[in-house]
Amino acid sequence: MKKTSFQQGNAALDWVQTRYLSWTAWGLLIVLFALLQAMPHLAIAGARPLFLIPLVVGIALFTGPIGGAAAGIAAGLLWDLYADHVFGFNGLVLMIIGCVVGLLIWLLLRNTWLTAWLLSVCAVLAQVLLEWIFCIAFAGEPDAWLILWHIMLPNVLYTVIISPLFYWLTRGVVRLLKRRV
Amino acid sequence: MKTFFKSVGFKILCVIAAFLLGIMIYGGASGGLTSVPAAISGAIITPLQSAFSAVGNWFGDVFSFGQNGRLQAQIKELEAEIAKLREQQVELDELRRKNELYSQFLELKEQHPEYQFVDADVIATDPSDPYNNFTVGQGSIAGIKVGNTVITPQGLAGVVYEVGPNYAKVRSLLDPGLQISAYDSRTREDGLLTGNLELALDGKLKLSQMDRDITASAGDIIVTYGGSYPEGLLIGTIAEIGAETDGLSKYAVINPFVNVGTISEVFVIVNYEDTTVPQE
Repeated sequence: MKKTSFQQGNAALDWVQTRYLSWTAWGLLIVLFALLQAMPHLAIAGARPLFLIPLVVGIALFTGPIGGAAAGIAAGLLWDLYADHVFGFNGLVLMIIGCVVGLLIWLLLRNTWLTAWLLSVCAVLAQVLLEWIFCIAFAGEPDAWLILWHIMLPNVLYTVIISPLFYWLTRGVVRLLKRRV
Repeated sequence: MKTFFKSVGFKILCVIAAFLLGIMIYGGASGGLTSVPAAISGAIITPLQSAFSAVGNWFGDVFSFGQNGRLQAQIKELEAEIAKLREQQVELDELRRKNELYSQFLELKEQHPEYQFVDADVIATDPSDPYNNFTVGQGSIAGIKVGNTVITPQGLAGVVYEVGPNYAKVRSLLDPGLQISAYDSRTREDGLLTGNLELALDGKLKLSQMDRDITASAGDIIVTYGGSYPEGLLIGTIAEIGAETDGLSKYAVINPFVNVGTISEVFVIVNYEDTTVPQE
C-alpha cells in the first residue's frame, strides 16, 4: 500500500528525531568522559584511565564507520585541547579507530561484548603506541622507554580492565533510544 | 566495502583527515597549539572543565574518605542520623581545608606585597603526561602571560607555557623543559634546577652544575635565584648530593615542597618587583 504524504512526512520527522536524539546522547557522553578523563581523581596507583578510546569503539559498534569516525573526531579533538602534544593528533587517531572498528563490525565481526573488548584492547594499544612513537620517541624524549613502561602501559591496563563497561553503556543508550522511538 | 570507499561520507572523512594533518604540521612547525584551537578551547571547554573540576574535587574528597575499609564498614553500620552528621563533617573539613589554604595564601601575600597574584583552580591534567603538567582555569583575561610563575603556599609549582583567554597551561617543576636558577639558602651555592623522568617518577628533581667544592648538605632548603622568576621562592630540600660523571661538578637531588600530582588550587604571580642585584 502506498504511503500518504502525511505518513511520509511523519516517518521523515521520526528519522530526524532519532538521529538528533542519538547524536545528542553520544555528544553528551563524549563531553562527559573527556572531562572525567582530564581529572586526576580517578587515578589508581598512578595509572589514569583513557575513557575516550573504549567509548569511541562502543559508539562505532552501533553507528558504523561514518558514525564511529565522527565520534572519534569529536572525542579526539576534545582530548587534544588538554593534551600536552601537537593539536589534532588524537582527533586523527580516534577518527581512524572509529572508522576501522565500524567497518570491521559491518563486514567481519559479530557485535558482542567480547569482540568489543578485544577491539578496545587493540584500539588502546594502537593509540598509546602511536602517541609514544610520534609524540615521545620521535620528539627525542631521552626517557621514552621509561615513559612507556611506567606511565603509558599502566594507563593501558587500567583502560583495558574498564573497557567492557563502555560496551554495555553504549548498548544501553542504543536500546533506550530504540524503545523511545 | 567498495560502496563505502566511494561514498560521500568517506570522502568527507578524507578531507577532515587531511585538515587535521595540516593542523598537526602547522602546530608542530609553530611550536604548539595554534591560536584558533586555543580560542575554541578557551570559549567552550574551559568553563566545562572548571565545573567538572569543582565536582571532581568534591568527589575526590569523598572517594578518598570512603577508601578506608574500616571507615567504610563503620559507615554502613551507622544510622541515617549519624551519616548525616558525617556528611556535615566532610563539608566542615573541606571548608577548614579551604580556610587554611586561603590563610596560607594571605600570609604569602603579606610576606611579598610586591607580588601580584591571580588565584586559579587546576582544571585538567593529561593522563599520558609523566611530569604532571596541568591546566589552570584562568588565562590572559586575568592577566596571565607566558613565563609567569605558578606557586602554592608550599612553594614553586611550575611556570606558564601557553595561555588562552580563560586557561593557562603550566609546565611543572618536574618537567625537563623547565630550567630554573636556584641556590641553597644556607650556603648561597647555586645551580641549575631541572627535572628528568627517572627522578620525576619519585617526585624529585635535580639541581645540577654546582661547584665541585660545595658545602651544601642534605636537608638544606633550595630557593629560586631570581632573574626570570621571583627570587626566594621555596622549591624543596636537598635529599642527597652526588658528583657528576665528568668529576668537574656536583649535583643535588631535591625533594620539592609541592607535590604537583595532587594540587588543586594555585596562585599565578603575574607581576613582581625584581630584587635581584645583577652580577658584575
